[in-house]
Amino acid sequence: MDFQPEYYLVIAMFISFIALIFTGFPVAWVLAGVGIAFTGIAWWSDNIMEWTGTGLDYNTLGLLTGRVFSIMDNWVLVALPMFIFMGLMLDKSGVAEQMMRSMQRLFGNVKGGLAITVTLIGIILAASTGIIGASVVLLGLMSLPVMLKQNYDKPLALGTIAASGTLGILIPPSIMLVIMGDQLGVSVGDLFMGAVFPGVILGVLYITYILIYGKLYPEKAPLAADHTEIRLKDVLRVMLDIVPPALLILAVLGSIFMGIATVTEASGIGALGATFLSLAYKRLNFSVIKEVVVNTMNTSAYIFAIFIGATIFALVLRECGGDELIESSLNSMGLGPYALIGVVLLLIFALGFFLDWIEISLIILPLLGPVIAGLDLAVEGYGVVDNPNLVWFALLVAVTLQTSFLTPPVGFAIFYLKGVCPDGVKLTDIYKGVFPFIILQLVGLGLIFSFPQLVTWLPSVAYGN
Amino acid sequence: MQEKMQNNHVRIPIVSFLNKIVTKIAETTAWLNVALVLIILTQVTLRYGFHNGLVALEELIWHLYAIAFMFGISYAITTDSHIRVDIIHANMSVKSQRIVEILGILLLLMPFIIIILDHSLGWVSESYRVSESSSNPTGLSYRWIIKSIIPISLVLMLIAALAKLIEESVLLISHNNKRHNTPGRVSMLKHLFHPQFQNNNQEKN
Repeated sequence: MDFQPEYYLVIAMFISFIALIFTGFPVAWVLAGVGIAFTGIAWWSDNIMEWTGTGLDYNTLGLLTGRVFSIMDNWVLVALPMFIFMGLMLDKSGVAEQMMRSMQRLFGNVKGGLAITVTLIGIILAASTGIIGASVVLLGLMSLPVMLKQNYDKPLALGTIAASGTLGILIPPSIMLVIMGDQLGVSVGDLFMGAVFPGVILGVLYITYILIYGKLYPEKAPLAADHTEIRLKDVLRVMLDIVPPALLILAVLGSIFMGIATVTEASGIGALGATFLSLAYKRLNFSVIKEVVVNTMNTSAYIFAIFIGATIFALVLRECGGDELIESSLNSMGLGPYALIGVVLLLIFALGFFLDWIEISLIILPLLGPVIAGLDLAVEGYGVVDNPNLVWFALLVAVTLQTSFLTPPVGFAIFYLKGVCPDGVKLTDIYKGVFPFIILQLVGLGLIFSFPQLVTWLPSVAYGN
Repeated sequence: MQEKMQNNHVRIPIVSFLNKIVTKIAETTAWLNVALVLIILTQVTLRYGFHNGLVALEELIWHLYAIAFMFGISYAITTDSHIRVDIIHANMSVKSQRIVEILGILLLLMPFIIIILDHSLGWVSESYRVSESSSNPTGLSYRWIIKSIIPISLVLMLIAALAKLIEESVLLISHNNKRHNTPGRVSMLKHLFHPQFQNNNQEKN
């Protein structure tokens, strides 16, 4: 590999970025500030020291206004605040708690039933709150007290919550997939569809594990003291509670999958649907709407701030030859395409320890995208899925990140869960609890890696007709 | 959320004043999200009901979305909700946290705001001069209006950052080392997503 002097700047940029984010200053501003500072450093190195020839100067930064504007006139990203709106509104409607109460009654007779309830709610909630911390925190606050009161084994309870909570970033309509689609230049609809089977597989793996665990160690997943026989009334009640939110999410996804609506349109309608749901549950009033709109703005704002920061960082990095450096160093490892993807996933797994999916999707994916797109992979696109390689890769990244967020000692899910645990729950309980779920994640990841059809088949069927 | 955030602040009149500007503007802008939902609904209805989507409406949608998130960025500075890597930060002394904040604002945030602001002003006035409009003939004209959202939101960010800078400096100098509530997402998320059946929820922040 041909090492250019500019590459020192690239490496210095990465090192400064990593060093500075650990000070705890907001990531968005570290990215923006490092980008700006390295423009100055590159100019100094070009003109004063004559070491490099990046051509960066004050005027180059003028490009950034246009770059920021291209985030603003991005039609697909409109879906982001709309899905956040939908998630917050669904939360305010109290459907999660309704489901929790009624499903608990239904699964009351099954060993581990409560844990399964948590998983299922995690999956349904996942669809609404694509922010990983959000589902973990919500599930933790909602179900941990109940599980502990019912004398559940602490690690089992904690592991279930952490794992089900992280499913949120994968299961559509996940805002992470919206951003990945934007960054990799693939269709968000394809990613949503591609995520269906991986999501289902992981959900099924979790539930199977809990059932087996409940059979093997009945005392660790006990029944509720006041459990009753399942009556038809309970079944109906569960239906009544699950159907409205499930219908809403199916309608949103269905309209995207069947090509009736664009992702943006579906997200707007989803937000409206969630508002009606709140109205139906008699939770809607002025202060709820105000809280939802203000929090929607706040949440979208911190995501978009990183968008802007990453844009600045990426522009300067590119001018210094960062893309070539990454491409040539990945290629110079002399690995086959699949081994290369393995290495990349390992890297993303490690980055997931301290960076959230937002930063990874915005900084790392655009750098890796071109390399992956150029690989000779045998991912079946059935002739109808554009960029099947990238769709498959995006889902691999999604599941890898999810696993990373669960992994001790610094996984995000653990960190969030610890934040909402009552006193008396030790960090080691969480570590013990997530361990089996990490194995399940790796099984899921292995399946997706070995059978790319799991990802690409569904989008191909939807568009094939 | 608002009262809570404000209560944590030690009263420094100028800081409260600056924060109020940002908060008022942003909280009003936040309602654009409702407008966004309604316009998307209209667009879908037109497209399906009358086979006639409007380019202008489509453009209006991203205009509103852009204004909402761009103005929100300053608000997120005021409410301290921008994402941090908390692993080390959370265990630092309050004094070190304040120093990080002050240096960060001066060396990372402010230069970025000022430089982009400088560039964006010329860019907007150019758009105004040539009376740029949408590249689509049936789209919206007066493109400079939406473009001017960039400098306006940068000014708002500058105000929010200045308020934070003054606040942190005053507190650092006055040795006020009371751990002020929050930075960190756990408490924020806890507030956002508290279970609805704990209606009498006592936040234990």
